[in-house]
Amino acid sequence: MTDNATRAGLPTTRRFLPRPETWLGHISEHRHWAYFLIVPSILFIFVIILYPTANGIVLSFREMRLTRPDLGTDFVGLRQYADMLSDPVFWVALYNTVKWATAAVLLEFILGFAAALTLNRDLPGMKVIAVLILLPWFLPNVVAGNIWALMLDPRLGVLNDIFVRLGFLSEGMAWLADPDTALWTAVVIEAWHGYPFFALLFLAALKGIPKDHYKAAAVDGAGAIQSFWHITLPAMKMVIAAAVILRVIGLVNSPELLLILTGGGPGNTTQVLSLYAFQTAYLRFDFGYAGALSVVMFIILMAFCILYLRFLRIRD
Amino acid sequence: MASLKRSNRMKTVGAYAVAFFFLFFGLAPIVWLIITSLKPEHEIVNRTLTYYPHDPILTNYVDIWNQSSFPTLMMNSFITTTMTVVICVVIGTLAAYSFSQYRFPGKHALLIFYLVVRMFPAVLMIIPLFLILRAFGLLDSHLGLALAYTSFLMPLFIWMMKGFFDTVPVELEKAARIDGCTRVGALVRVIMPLVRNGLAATAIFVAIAAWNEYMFALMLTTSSGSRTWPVGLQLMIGEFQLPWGLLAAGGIISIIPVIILFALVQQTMVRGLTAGAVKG
Amino acid sequence: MKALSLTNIRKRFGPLEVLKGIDLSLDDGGFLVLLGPSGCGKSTLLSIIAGLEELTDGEVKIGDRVANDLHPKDRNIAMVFQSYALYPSMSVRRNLAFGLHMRRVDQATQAEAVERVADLLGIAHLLERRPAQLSGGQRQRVAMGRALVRDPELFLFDEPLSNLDAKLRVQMRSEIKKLHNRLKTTIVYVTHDQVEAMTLATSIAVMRDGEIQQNAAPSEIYDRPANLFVAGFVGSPQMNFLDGRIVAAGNGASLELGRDGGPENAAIPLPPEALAGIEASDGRPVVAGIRPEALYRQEGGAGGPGFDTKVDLVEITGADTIVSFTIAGQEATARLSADFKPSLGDDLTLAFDPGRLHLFDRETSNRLN
Repeated sequence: MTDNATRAGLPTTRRFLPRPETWLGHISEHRHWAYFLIVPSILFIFVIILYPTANGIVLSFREMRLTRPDLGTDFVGLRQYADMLSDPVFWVALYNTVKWATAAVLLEFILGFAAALTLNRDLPGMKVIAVLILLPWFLPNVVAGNIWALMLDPRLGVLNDIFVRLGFLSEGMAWLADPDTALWTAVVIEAWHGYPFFALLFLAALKGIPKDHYKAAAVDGAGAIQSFWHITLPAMKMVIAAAVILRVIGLVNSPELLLILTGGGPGNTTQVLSLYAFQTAYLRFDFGYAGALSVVMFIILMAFCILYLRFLRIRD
Repeated sequence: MASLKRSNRMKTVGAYAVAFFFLFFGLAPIVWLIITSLKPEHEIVNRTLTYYPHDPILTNYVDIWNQSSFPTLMMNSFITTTMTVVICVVIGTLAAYSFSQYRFPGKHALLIFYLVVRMFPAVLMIIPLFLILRAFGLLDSHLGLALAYTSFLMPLFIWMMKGFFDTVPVELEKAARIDGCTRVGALVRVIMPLVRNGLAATAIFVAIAAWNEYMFALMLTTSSGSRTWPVGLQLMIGEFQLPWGLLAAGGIISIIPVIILFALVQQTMVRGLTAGAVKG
Repeated sequence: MKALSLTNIRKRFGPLEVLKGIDLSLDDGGFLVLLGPSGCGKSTLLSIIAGLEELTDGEVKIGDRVANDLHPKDRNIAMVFQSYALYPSMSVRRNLAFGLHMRRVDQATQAEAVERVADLLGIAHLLERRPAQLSGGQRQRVAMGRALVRDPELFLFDEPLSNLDAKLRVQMRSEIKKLHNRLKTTIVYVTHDQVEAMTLATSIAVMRDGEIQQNAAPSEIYDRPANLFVAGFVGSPQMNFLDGRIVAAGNGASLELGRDGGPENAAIPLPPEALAGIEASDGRPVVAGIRPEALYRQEGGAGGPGFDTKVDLVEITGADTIVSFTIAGQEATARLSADFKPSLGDDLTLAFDPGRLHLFDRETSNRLN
C-alpha cells in the first residue's frame, strides 16, 4: 500500500472513521427504507380515510338514526336507496348539483382564463396583480360567504344600494332569499371565491409555453386568434382537463359555501346533494340515509370523471 | 407604423383595464369588509348607506375580542391547525421524499391512489369519522378534529411536497452517503436545507386550509372547548345576531394570519401549486 | 494485495438480469476503466462497488474487507458523479470538507486538507463560492477535490467528463491522468468513451449486456481484441470487418474475402504466422478485421499481403486522409498519410502487415488467431 503520510504531500485522513450511526440512521440503511418512509402515511390513509369511507358505504345499507335508538342498527339492504328514489328532495338536489357545478365551473373557467391571458402580458405590475387576485381563494368560506351576504343584504347591502342608485332596481332585493335568484347568486359568489385557482394554473401553463412556438406561428402568418387556437389551447389541454376535474370534485363534494349562504333554502332551490347529505347527518342524525346519499354522489362523481377523461382521450 | 404603435398602446391599455377589473372584483369585497368593521353600528344600519366610515372607530375590534368567545375560538383553531400541520409535516415529508427520490414497485399506483383518495366525498367520511372519534373519546377534541383534517390534507401535502423534492437531484443522497452519511443523515444535512422554502410553503398551505375549514368542525366539535373560529363566527351570525360591525371585525382578525402567512411564502407556494401545470 | 476484487457479481432487476456474473480485480494504484455502450451495466457495477445498489449475488472485496454488507459510508471510498452532485446549499469549502466533517476530523486537519487539495486542483480562489456560481469545469474540479480530500482506499468515477465541452474534456482528461500518476490512487472509472479509456487506464474491462467481454491492458485491447464487439468498440475510425473464408493453399493458406454466395471474391495469400493457432480446416468462415490505420499504400515491389481497389470516398481530416473503398463487395476504410490526396475512382493498391490482421470466428465472433 502507498505510504499514506507522504501521499504527494496530502495529509492523510484515512484513519478517521465515519460517525457512529444513530438507530434511525441504522434503519435508514435498510434496503426497504423507501417503504419504511411511506408506511406511516399509508397507515394514516387507511385509518382515517379508507376505513371511514368503507364504513360509510356499509352504513348506507343499515338503519342508523342517532335520534331513534329504538330502531336499532340492523342491515336494511337497499332500503335507503329505494327511499331515495321516492324522495323528491333528492331529485331536486341532484338537479341543483348539476346546475351548480356546471355553472360555477363555466364561470370560473371563463374568468380564470381571461385573467390568465391578461396577466401573462409582459407589462409592469402584472406580477403583483397576479398575486393579489389570489387573495379571495385563500379566504375561508365563512368570511367569503358572509362578506357577500353583507353586501347583498336587502336593507344594508352596498350592492343593492348601487343597483338602486343606478336605477337597475327600485328597491333592495333579497338575492339569496328569492327562489329565482338564490342559486345563481351563490354561483357568482362561488366563482369569486374559486376562479383564482383557474387563473393560477392557467397563468403558470401559459408561461410554460415556449415563446418560439408563437414566433414560428407568426412567421407562418398566424394571427392572434389562430395562434391562440393552434398553440395556446393545445398546449394547455392537460392543465385545463386537470383543473376542471379537480374543481368539479371540489364543487360537488363540498357543501360549505351553500351551507353558510342559504342552508339549501329557500324551498330547497339551493339544495345540492352534498349539502342534503350533510344536513341529513348533522340535523336529522339519520346516518344511514346520509351515507346512501353520499354513496350515490360519489358514484355520480366517479362516472363523470371517467366519462370526462375518456371523452378527452377520444378527442386526442 | 403609427397605426401599429397605436394598436399596441390600445392593447396595453386594454390589458390594464382587464387586470384592474379583476383586482377590483377580487379585492373590493374585502375592502368593504374592512370599511364595515370600522363603522359604528348606527352608521351601518343607517337608512342611507355610507361608502366610507364618517367617524372610523376601532371599538368593533376591541368589543369582539373582549365581549365574545373570539379569543378562545382563535386559540382552538390555532391548536387544531398546529396539530394538523405537525402530523402532515412529519408523516407527509417522509412519504413525499420516498415518492420523489426512490424507485420501488407500486410507487406509481400508490401516488395515483393518493390522488383518487381526494375524490372521496367528505360527507361520506364524516359520518363514520364521527362514530370512530366518539368511540375513542376524541369527538369534540382538538386532536380528533386535527386527525379529520389530516385525512384530506395529507394527500395534498404529499403531492405538493413531492414536487419540491423532485427538484433535488437523486445523486445528492448518493454523494452524501459516500461522504459518510446514513440515508437519514443525507436527508437532514443535505436534502432538507434545499427544500426548506418548499416545506414552509406546503406547511402554510395546509395550515391555511385547516384554519379555514368549516364543515368538519361543525360536525365534530360541539362545545366551546374545541370549537374553531369559523364555526363560532357563523354561530354568532346565525344565532346570536351580533352586530355586523363586530362580525366584520372578527372576520378581518381571523383572515389576518392567512394573509400574513400567504404573503411570506407566496412565490414558493405558487411554484408548488403550479408545478404540475408547468410540466403539463 | 488487491485493492478491489469482484467475484461473480450478479444483479437482477425483477426478471431482468443486468449483471451476469462479473469477475474483476484491481491492484493497488491501478486505474481500471469500465468501458461499454449505455445499458451494458457498467454504471450499475460501479454503484454496487459503492454500495449504493444492492447485489443479487457475488462478493465485493475492497482491500482485504468483504464489503457486501458495508454501508457506503463505511466502505472508505470516494465517488465523482457525472452530474458532480455538489451540495448546492454549501460553499465550495464546506463541500470539500463535508466528508471530513462527517468523520469528525479535527478542524485544523480539515482546513489543511481542504487548502492542499484546493491548491492541487487550482480552485483555492473559489472556496467561498456556492456551486451555482461555478462554471462546468470548476464544478468538475470541486467534485474531484471532494473525492481527493478524503484520501479513500478507492476512487470511483462515473462518466465524470461527459458533461463538459470537447476542449475542457481533453484538458481534464490529462489532469486526471497526471493526478493519478502523482498520487498513485486506485481508481475505477466508468465511461463509454473509448479514447478516455485508452488514454487513462492501466486496465480496461469492456462490457456488454452485463458481461465482461475482455479485461486487459489498453494495448492488448487494441492489438488483440477478444471478439468482434471489442474490436468494433475500440478504435476510431472503426475496424474494418470483412466476411471471408480461410482456404488452404499449398503449405500456407489464403484468405478468400467475399460474402457467401456474393458475386465478387478476392483471395489474399497469408503467411503461416498470420494463422498461428488456427485449425486449418478448409473453407472455415471467418470475419477478417483490419484497422484502417493498419492499411498502407503499396507502390510496386514487395510488402505485406495486399489487394487492388478503387477510391470511393475521400475524407481529409488534416492529420490524415481517410479513404473509403470496396473490396469483394464490402465497404471498408483506410487511414492513409495526409500527403496522399487521391481523386474519386483512382486505382489504389493497399497492403497490410499480416501481424495486424485479426481473424474472428463468424459463428461465435470470438478471436481465432
